[in-house]
Amino acid sequence: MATKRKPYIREINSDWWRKQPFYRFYMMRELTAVPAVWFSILLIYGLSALKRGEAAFDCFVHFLANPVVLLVNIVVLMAALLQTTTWFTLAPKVVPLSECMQCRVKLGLWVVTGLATIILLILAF
Amino acid sequence: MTNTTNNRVDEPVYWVLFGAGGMWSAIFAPAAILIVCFLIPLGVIDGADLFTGLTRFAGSFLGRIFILLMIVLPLWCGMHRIHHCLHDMKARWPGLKGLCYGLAAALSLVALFLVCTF
Amino acid sequence: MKTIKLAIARYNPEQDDKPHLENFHVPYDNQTSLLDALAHIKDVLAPDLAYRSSCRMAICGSCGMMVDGIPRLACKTFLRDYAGAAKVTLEALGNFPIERDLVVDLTHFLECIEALKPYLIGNERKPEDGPNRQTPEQIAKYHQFTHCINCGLCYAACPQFGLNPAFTGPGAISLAYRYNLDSRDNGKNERMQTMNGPEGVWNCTFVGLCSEVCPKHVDPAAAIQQCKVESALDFARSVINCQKEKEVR
Repeated sequence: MATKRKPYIREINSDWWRKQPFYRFYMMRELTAVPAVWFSILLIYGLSALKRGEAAFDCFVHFLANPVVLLVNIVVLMAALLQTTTWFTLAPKVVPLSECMQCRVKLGLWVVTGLATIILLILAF
Repeated sequence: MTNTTNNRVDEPVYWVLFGAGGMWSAIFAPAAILIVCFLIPLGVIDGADLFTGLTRFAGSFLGRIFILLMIVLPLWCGMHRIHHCLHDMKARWPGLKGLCYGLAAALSLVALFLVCTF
Repeated sequence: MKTIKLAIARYNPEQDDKPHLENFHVPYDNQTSLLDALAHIKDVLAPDLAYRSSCRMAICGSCGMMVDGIPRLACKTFLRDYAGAAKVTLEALGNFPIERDLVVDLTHFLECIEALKPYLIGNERKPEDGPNRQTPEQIAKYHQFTHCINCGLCYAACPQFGLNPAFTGPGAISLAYRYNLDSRDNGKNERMQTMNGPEGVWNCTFVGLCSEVCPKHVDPAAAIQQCKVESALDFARSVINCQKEKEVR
């Protein structure tokens, strides 16, 4: 007897991630990559300006002070903070640790970030 | 046990770079962005010797290493994520992977050149 | 008794081209599980409704389905938690082919489990040698991964499995990892071949919903990330070995 099976395969659309809050957050986490790449390019621009001399560097600072660029960079900073938070939540899972140790590693990573921030700020001033 | 090497994918290489980049940006990016994008253009840091100070920093050994890593590592992390994001959104163009990692490699070379010749 | 509206995606392969929603109003109280509601529908409202179940106590892993788009076990889901909702939508377990109504074809999952050899390999001990003892620390390493009941909820939660139906997937990889971590086992190299390959661990992008939906609190996402580390080390070793072979020649 011929089979009466006719399995129905559900197609995944390219917007699948919009349907669940969990997936939306995942996509947001991944898309923090775009501001991160933008900041790297900004640093390349800044470094080359610094190399070319004071006039070129003033031009770079002027560009940064543009309200549109400042607004974009607020998004960049928020994205970086989101990346830091999510990274420290996920990274401890990559190594086999007990739950207690995972919390400690997470705390340790935040302490390192705090110290790095303080050192960079001291260097800047 | 014979075809273990044939079966492999090269993803571990990009994943390690992604991991290093993710950890580096998680620790340093917020402070770096705060300084470069806000404290400098808003004039919070004293503008008079800003240029000389930065030039001295970018010329020092540790400064060079820091700037290179600050540019290169987040690039590899970011392009890795963008590559996978596009895959998630079902963008399956043939040269996509080459484009993403090629861009990261090209910008890394530019950064390396700038840092070395500073 | 209060009633609640269940919208069930029905699919009859002999008549339908695609699933369609059918509404049922079912009575419930504080103790009514979704599985009880399905039994009520089958007994009273629609005798032809197809769904799988067995133990009613979250250990057989048969009654996985999508409840408002989230993979859940029907027996572990209670209608009291949906009291305010206008309706609850039920659909067959995500990412798997639908056979009929709420029944899916889990063949791929089962084949992946088989391919990853989830049993002790290369242990030469004989019954005469007595029990193969392990310390509590050795057991603690893999213990959480032994809780898997093969319900497939993690596969339904995994968008990467949806996008690439050939992906080995969270459940099977966790199970393989459980044996890799077992001090009595020596079969890691055999399992790593599948893990390293194009359908292996590198399909995962650490979305993490698999660990959230697991009814037994296994953490498949962590298992896969830890397998990625293993796979990366394996990759480095293969590159070094390749260099050595060249030098020998």
